[in-house]
Amino acid sequence: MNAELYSPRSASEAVSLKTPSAAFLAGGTEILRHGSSVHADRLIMLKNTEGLKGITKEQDQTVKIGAMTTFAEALRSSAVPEYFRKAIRYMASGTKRNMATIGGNIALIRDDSYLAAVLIAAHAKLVLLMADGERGRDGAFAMERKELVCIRRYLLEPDLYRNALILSVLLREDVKVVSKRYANTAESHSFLTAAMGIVDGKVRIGVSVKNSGVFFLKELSEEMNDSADPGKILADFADSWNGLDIPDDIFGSQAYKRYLLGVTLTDLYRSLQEDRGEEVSDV
Amino acid sequence: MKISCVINQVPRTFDVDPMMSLRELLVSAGHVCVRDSDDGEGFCGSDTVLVDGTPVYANLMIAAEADGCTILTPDGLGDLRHLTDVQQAMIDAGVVQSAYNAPAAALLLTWLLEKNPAPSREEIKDALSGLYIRDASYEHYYLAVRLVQEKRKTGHYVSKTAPKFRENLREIGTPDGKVDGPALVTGQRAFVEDYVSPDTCYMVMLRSPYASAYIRSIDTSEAEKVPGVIKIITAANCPDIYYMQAGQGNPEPSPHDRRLFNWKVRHAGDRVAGVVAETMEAAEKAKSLIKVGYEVLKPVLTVEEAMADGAPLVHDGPVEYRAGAPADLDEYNAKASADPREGKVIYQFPLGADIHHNVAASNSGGIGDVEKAFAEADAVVERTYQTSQIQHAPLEPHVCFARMEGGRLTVYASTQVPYHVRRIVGWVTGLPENQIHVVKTRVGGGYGAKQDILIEDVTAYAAYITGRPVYCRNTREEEFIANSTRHPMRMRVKMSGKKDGTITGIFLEVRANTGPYGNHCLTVPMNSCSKTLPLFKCPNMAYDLKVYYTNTPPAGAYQGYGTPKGNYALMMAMAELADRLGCDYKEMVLKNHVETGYRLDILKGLGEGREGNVVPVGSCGLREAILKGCDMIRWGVKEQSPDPDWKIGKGFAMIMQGSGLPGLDHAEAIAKMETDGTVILNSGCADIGTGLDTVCAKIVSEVMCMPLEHISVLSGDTDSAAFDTGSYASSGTFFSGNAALDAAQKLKEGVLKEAALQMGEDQEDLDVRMPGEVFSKKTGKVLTYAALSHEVCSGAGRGMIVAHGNFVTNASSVPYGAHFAQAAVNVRTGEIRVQKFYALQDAGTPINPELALCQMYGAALKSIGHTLYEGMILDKDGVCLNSNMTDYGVPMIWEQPDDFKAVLIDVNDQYGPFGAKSISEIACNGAAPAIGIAIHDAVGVWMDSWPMTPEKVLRKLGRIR
Ligand SMILES: Cc1cc2nc3c(=O)[nH]c(=O)nc-3n(C[C@H](O)[C@H](O)[C@H](O)COP(=O)(O)OP(=O)(O)OC[C@H]3O[C@@H](n4cnc5c(N)ncnc54)[C@H](O)[C@@H]3O)c2cc1C
Ligand code: FES
Repeated sequence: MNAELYSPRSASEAVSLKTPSAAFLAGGTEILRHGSSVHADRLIMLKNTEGLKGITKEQDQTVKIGAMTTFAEALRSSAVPEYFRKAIRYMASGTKRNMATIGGNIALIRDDSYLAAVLIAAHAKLVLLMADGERGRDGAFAMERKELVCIRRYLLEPDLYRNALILSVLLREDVKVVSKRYANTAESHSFLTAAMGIVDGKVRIGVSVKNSGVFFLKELSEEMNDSADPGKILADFADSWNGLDIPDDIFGSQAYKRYLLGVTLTDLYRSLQEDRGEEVSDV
Repeated sequence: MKISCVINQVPRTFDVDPMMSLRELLVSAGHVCVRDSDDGEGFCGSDTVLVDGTPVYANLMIAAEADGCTILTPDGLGDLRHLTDVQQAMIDAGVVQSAYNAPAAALLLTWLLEKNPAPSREEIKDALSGLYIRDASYEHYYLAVRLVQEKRKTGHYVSKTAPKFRENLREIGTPDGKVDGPALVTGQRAFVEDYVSPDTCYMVMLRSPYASAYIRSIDTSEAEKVPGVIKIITAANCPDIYYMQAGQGNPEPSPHDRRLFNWKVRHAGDRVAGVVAETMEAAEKAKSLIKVGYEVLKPVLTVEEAMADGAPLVHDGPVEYRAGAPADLDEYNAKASADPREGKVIYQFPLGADIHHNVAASNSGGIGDVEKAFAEADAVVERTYQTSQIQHAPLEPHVCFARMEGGRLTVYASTQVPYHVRRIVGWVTGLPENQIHVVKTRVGGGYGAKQDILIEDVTAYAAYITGRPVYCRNTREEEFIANSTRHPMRMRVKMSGKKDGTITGIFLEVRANTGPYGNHCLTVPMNSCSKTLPLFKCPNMAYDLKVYYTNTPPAGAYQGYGTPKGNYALMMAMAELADRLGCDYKEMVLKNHVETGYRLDILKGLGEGREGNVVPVGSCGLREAILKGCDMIRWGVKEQSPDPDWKIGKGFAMIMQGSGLPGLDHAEAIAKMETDGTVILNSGCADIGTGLDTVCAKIVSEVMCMPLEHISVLSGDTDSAAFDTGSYASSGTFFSGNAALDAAQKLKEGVLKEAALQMGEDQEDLDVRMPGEVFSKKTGKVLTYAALSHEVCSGAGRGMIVAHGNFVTNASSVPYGAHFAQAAVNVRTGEIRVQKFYALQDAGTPINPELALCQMYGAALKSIGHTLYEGMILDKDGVCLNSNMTDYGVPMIWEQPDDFKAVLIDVNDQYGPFGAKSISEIACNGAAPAIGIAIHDAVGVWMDSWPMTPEKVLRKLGRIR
């Protein structure tokens, strides 16, 4: 890669260096790989940036995971809720888990994301550092602000946060989330990941569909919360959901993916109802 | 930027571009075993190193990130003379085969065991989860870990690495390591890329974006101005020589239907121009400046399109025959296109081709009367099966380095066929064979891909005409789009039977897609019939095969040739017939399979372009494999899943292959006793990681009664050894092993003759014994090989003892076996899990039992991949949509069945060296039908195409339309 390299010591410095054509270098497993979706003329290496690592239990039954925490570190930590560790395991390569960071994954907003659907269903929040105002003569921004953003907003309105630095992600422990990922092989990109959570007594659904996008099924979640027969809603939903434009592609036909989504949501719901909060049906 | 780090305990400082990858930094510092097999895709793990004690991919780090770090590379573990216990255990477990990723695996296991001295199976799985292994599967890596643990605890291994065969023999049948194991596992220089000299030029290929087009114009003038560009080779300036790229015996049963560069491009990815430049950057830049005018043609992408009336023709020039031209050739050629850009097609002998209907080859024949059998049967099954286009996906892509040395052309090649490479390079350069030196290096994965001469032709030509060293290495994308693949095939089977389970008639129709060129176009589909129909004791059998040219990426040789496909179709049809007749499948198989002595009349028409040898079945462990496997998998017992959505079923398939090509293959070996009594065997064989050098060394050791470490096998070097057809058609152990045996026996004869003179005894009274000496059964006198050989090479001696062995035969030694699967299928989601897979095979005497087992595991996992996950997907224009590792879908450790077993059935063969037959190709033949039958047993649907995806299961179940 041909780019200028910076190694900021602080988050403020890092965010001040961010331009639309720059990228943060976290685990590098996307930026530095062949066929990467990220192209940058400036790399802002976060390896030596303070304050971006670590997993801590906060008040209000919340766990804070620093953006530069690797998948492997998060997986090893017993403080991290099991529903999230399950999503981490969707990244099949242990070596890649040693490198890839939670922040890097979230920032990519991929339609085959390991984490996005689960984060939506769990109503996770992000702590962002944003550069504001005009750049000064030294290139730095006049102001910066920290913002607490719902993951749904971050994922669904990416343009708002294009230059933001994710400092950490906040996960709730008092939620129940189940999820399921479909991919050809474990190491292949997923073509469908669906997650369902019960948060404050309400159902939340997150879905990522390859070549379609990442979705918070807001209306469906609301309908289910009000319905006497949520199972039926789910079964009917996948076929008729207009908001979802699923193509026929190398992963399968639209009919297959819609069918699978319906079945999976039903299974996830069943699993939540059964109060198991664990893996949907497996051999 | 200055970067300081500690590499393998040595503090180092580099002044480098901080953006260079850590791998580049490490390789430039001499750590060549930190490799890359996917162009930095981050999939294969060949670049695994430890940074501050954690495994990472060095390609996905920049040098700047390594500043201040401690790095351990695989070559920092142990060296050739001081292997670590992990490295030794990997060799002993048999997993060091083609070994491109063996050093990285050693590093990962070392790291794991340091962190966790008693890892569980899941923890081992996780440690290896970022590493792609294609050759041996992952099964014996678990064994390697266990061996290390045992040794650390008790000082020795408790577990067996493999069973021992032939108690009366010392080396043969004994698990005893691999002669090249230490060099490979420690990451020594071994592969083509390690021989590239610093003054090399690079060659990159401009490839066609279109599946079919004439080149109207090609302008290289701007490209040639790029500083550092040496030569651009195109259709305009390449030699007008027609040849083919299949590495087969001469005369080849493949058409000579291409030149180095053609005026008509016939697939998306076809060669348009080869750019040679002093740097890679210059080559790429120049490539981007070549202007090509295409006249785009409508492509044909499937067999159905190719056979349709009025289909566009892939080859439409005149044809020529070197032998056997038909009487109406002139008339036939009158139909040819007048456009010279079509080129021509030359046959060495008739292949049943008709290019004016896109037919590259055809054949038909049979025994008995199938129509009568069908008419009189109690049930007839007729079904059509389809298989996809599969990539070999070896870790090491096709790679070649060629240079002029002392006026001769030297070609470093990762090849299965060094002598065929020499011949083809000779054709395209016009050089005689004595002026070409092919050096087969270690091969980082072949599986048939490297039986085809796909880049050696053009690399060697470029080095010859420029006089400069030239290095060419396929990108991973090129491996998919411009390489040989498994022929996609459509097979129609008609099979009839009686109520008592007797199969009365079998008809197999094969329609194969060879792509744009006819590499192996006759032999691969022939194998669909010749290595499947002879499994059946059926008096009425017929076959009809036609192979079509299309504009898809090329097809060619692939482990198993056409057999996995023909076998898939026949076994599935048999299971359906059993179902239709209400018979138990196992009983039907037992009733209809061949046994020793059964005369195989069906073989008469199934020679490779000539009359086949009708022979009786020789040594055969088929029945034992079936019975034992049925016991292991508890055939007939229905397994239940605790989850009602998951249904479990069982299936199995008979399998067979060959051991080389009787009457066609040829092997030679030259054994010489050095002055200290050690032996060097110059073998023509091409060890592609499977342990063939070890087979040869063990044979010499056994015959000569001398330690294995006193024998070196130098193989695959066309200068030092004599002609061998190469490693394909499962010929290695049988042919090259027999040549080594012949050489060893003649060497022994020479030693005894000389000893008789030196010892003053009669030769009949002498014999050899360990550790390499002649003794007199009469007088008890002893003469060591060292003393004997020193004497013959002293000024007054009779000359070095050298023996020349060779092997050709008309005898067939056929390996048999049966593969078993237990699969769970989710009726709601269509997901398929292979829970158990048992491979049982009769390999005659397994000379290297631990390596043989790993060959079986490797091929079985590969074919599980073909069955369930793999397949190139082309768009409507013939462009491959999944030409990278992640999207293509090779199986890795997570896909491996948890209960995975390989079992060697003990049978002694009459013709093989010490009773050995072949082992690995056959192991590709069972998975598809075994899994397909298991899926039917689970959920009642017949899967008639591979890959058998969840979507296809759901469609069969009627869940989606
Ligand atoms: C073979 C292979 C297959 C892959 N398949 C998948 C897949 O199926 N699904 C998937 O989700 N990923 C996949 N990836 C991509 C990648 O491994 C993961 O998404 C990973 O989590 C990215 O994290 P990273 O730390 O390596 O990010 P990097 O590569 O370092 O950065 C990725 C992006 O995130 C931004 N970024 C990083 N950190 C921050 C931060 N703190 N704040 C704001 N922006 C930030 C960067 O600017 C950059 O644009 C694959 C990678 C490989 C090599
Ligand atoms: S990036 Fe790891 S092998 Fe290529």
